[in-house]
Amino acid sequence: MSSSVRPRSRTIVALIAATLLLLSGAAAWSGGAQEEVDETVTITWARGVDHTGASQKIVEAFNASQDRIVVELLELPADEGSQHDAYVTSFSGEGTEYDVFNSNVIWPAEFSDAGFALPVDRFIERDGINLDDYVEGYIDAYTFRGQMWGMPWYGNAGLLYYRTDIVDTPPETWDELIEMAARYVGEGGTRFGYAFQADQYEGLVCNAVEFIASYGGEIMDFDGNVTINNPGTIKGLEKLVEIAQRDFVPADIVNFKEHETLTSFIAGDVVFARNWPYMWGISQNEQESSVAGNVGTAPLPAGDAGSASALGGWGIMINRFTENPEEAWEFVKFLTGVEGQRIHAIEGAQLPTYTPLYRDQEVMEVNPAFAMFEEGIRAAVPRPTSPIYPEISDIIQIELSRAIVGEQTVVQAVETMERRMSEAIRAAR
Amino acid sequence: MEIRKTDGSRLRKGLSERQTAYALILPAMLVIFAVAVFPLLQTFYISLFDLRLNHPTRNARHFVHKLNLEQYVDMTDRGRSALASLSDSDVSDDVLRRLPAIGETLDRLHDTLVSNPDRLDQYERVRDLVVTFEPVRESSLRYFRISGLEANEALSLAEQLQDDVARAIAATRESPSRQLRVLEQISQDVGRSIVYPNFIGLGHYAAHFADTRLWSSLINTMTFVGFAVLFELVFGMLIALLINRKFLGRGAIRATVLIPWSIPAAVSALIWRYMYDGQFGIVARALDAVGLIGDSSVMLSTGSGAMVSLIVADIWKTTPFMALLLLGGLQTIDGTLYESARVDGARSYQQFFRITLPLLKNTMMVAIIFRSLDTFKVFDLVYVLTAGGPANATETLSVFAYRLMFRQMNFGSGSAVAVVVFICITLLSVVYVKALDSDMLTGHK
Repeated sequence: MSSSVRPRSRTIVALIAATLLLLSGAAAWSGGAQEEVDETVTITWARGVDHTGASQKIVEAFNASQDRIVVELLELPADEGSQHDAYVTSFSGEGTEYDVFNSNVIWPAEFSDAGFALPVDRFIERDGINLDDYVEGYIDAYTFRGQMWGMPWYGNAGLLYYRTDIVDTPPETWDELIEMAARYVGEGGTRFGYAFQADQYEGLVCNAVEFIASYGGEIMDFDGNVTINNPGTIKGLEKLVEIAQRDFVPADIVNFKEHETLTSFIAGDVVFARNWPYMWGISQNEQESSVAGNVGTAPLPAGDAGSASALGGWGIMINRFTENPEEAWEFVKFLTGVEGQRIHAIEGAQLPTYTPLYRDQEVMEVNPAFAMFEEGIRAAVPRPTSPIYPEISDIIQIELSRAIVGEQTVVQAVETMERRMSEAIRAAR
Repeated sequence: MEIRKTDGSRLRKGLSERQTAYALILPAMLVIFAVAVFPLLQTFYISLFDLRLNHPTRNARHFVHKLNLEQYVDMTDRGRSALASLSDSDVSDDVLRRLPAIGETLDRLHDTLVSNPDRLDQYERVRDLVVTFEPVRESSLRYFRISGLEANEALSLAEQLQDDVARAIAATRESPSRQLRVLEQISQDVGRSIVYPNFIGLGHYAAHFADTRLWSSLINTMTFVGFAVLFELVFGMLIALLINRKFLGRGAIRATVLIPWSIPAAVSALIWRYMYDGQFGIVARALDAVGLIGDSSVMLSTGSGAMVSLIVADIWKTTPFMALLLLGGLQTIDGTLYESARVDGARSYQQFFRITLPLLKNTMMVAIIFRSLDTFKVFDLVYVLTAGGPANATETLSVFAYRLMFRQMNFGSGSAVAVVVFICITLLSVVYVKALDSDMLTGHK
């Protein structure tokens, strides 16, 4: 038995050796061709799914603009939290799957402290990027501990939508809004006076920040100290809770996110709604919206200290562990500079953070509504900047949610938030 | 002598037999240890540390003081270049006079921390990486150990640096320049490159037990488990009794009953979310029309409504599983028992309580254990259907642990909750197994 196997196994070994030899010869022979291929660098750009297709167009434009770098677009789930978790999972293992990635305005402090993001100050300085061309709030959002951790890309800010067939002039203060919502509910087939985002999630924090800022309160000061327990915050949140408990809002307002707000607004169910600029295009689209042509937007109502809208939006960061930081920056520069933001504004209808585009003829022709939104994103108020922002946000969501359902008063909620936030910050110092 | 000899040999032989037996089960033991015990021990071990993935120094386990060279090099380098360009620029003399002190403090900090040739060598190697934006991948390179004394000295120097910079800023009449602001930031942060031991023992457990959130999520979990398993048992039993009878189309019914069980939990949670929706949900509307609920919105917008919604969705999904287990038990009961009972004139409810139930007890206990342990860990259903809301009224232990670990990246604290889940499940199993044991004993009497 064994003697009959041996020669056969020898043959196999010989065959394998021959194949390997042939392959290595072929590899050596084709070496010249391979070197040329190796000169291009592939950069992976990760972002949440883009239904507009603008991202693909930007990638194509960039790939066509030079022949050294090839960018590949990688789309993640649309949910901001899922993207956050995907990045954290990868980067905490020092993964290199994503070279360049979209970053929500609330991430920079956290990602910089965790060592996930590459600071871009040296690149900005070297390439002479003029940061004054960008909306200031967004530069601030990507600055943490004196360094820039990414470049702003597109902006987002809260707006008041209203039905022009029911209301002539939008309310200017929150009290006016309450009064008008109660008066107009039922007119024009509406079922609710006002819809906003009161579910226990990040959107609730955005709404809270708007109420707080419009009554002159704040959550944390510039140095990261908890300053939430002040009359402005309490007054603002009391107004929010008062509205959430009125009967002109949907009874399940605590399940409302942006999507529910959009659905009920385009179904013609609400008179006033707070949402981001994306609702403009959809509500004016006759195929999707039953209120097309009857939609107006205005700045959010004011409190004692004026009107405020929450600063939302996205920027671009570079993975700290990328093997090609130079090439990654080249793409970021294109993406967040005039070319990339221009394509994104025209094809994706997203608000540029690069301000000269608001004077770009083609951009403004395609999106005349941008003129209404520019002021909004310039005046937007950021959410607290903290390396433990997810924990801070969690505390606000839970305690405010408990105040909205009537489990505690706003004063109690604010006191609990203050205590919990201070504890969390002390524990993470 | 003879006897002792045989005894000895017998003993030796017996030992080797035992050894062979152990050698045979050893691989299985190792596999069990690797897949079951080791992760648990690891989780417990992690829960003893203040481990935060998004913290610059507490993202690893440290027993001793260390210096994070990557951060230290980056900060001091930027500090020095800001200082150099500041000295060259046209700042006022008042500021200029205060700059050398900053440089001196930076030097003293360097001498304190990078105090021997080995450290200097490592410092230079890290510096080569940092200036080319390369991450320092190996932790043996990124850190070196320093004594507690050195850490304290460095910290007081960092405070000194903060004072020096603050003095220079106080001397500027206009708003401080960019370089000064960079220096200020660095002086505040340079202390953060010193790594402190983050072993905190049972600190996380103490914090959780003192806080209300763990308790309320534990109560939520137990409410969910209690009601869901109870109703699943009752409905599962009814279905099992039905499909145990002989009737036309029994096979088809047995198969259809399993459909809810075969739908992935996240998908069924989404389906239920639409049916419960306060605006257009069919279940909410129906309950409202019947008058069971005051308003179609309460199913998801109130704490108790949301809990009921969760329980109903879970009952719908897992009753088939319960029915299947119970059906298996029913089929082991000898049919002649019912025949003789019928001959003796027993009514059908008497048959059920005197024959079926006692003989099904063990199967029921196994089914209850399975379902309780499974339900206790519930995550997917809650996460998709309510995400713990409203007002955190439906947050279960697993959802809480997930939030701590993956949303807040607080792995130490999250692991502590995971260990609490494990302890609860162990206690639950012990109680059930005890009940099952005594039951079996009485059964055998």
